[in-house]
Amino acid sequence: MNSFLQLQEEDANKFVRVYQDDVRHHVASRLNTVRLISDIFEHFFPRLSDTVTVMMGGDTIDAEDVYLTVQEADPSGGDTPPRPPGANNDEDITR
Amino acid sequence: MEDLDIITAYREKRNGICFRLLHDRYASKIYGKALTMLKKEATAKDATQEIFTKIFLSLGKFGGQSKFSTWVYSITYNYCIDLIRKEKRSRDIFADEVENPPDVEVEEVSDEALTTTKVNELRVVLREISEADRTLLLMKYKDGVKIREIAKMLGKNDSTVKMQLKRAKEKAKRKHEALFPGAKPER
Repeated sequence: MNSFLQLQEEDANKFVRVYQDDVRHHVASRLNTVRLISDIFEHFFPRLSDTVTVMMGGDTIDAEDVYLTVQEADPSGGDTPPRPPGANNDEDITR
Repeated sequence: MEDLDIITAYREKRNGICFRLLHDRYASKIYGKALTMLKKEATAKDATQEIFTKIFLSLGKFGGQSKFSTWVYSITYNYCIDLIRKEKRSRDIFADEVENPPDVEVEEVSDEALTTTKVNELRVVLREISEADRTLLLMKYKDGVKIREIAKMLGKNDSTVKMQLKRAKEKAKRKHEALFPGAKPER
């Protein structure tokens, strides 16, 4: 066998024996950290930038129409909260 | 399981087993190549970590046009060359001999004269010769990099690399004879 290839094999064996687990662990934890940071950034940056924009007197970039007020949400406009499911004609619900 | 299947599975689910499979398949090869170029074990180990992080973070860019091993290999070499440049052990170390060639006539040394040297003796010889010679010999005979690829990596033409390689072999042989007089090649 080519001595250079033998040399390569010896180096590879030493790596597997001594360093491999350490390197794998290090890479995995670093990847997890990078992903955590990018996930946080992805989720919170739009909200943060909207907050800063509103504080400076501007409008949000991505206005949410689904956040309705109580009046908008309840067309009858009543003060009473909606009935719980299953309650009919002011009967008490026995649970 | 083919590399591409593992990569696809990893991209979809970020599966730990796929990560482990890919890592264990290539880690020792990357380490070997890094050790060839960076010389020190600790530096090669750190480089392996950096290269792997780079590979996994840019796995989305791998289109599958070339073999995964080729892609990994090019990232490894580019990283190591950048590191060498940063440490000011730049490519110029390879240029030195071309600009100042030794006056002596270079004796043609056969590949077998080196490849049949005993491993322990080869280790000593490689430690004793210059970094440029060592890297060239290891790239060619240990990693099996083609002359054209070495030339591309070092920014030189093929004939320059061939000449440097010829000189490196000759120096290694002379060093071996000086360090181990009367040593017989391994069979």
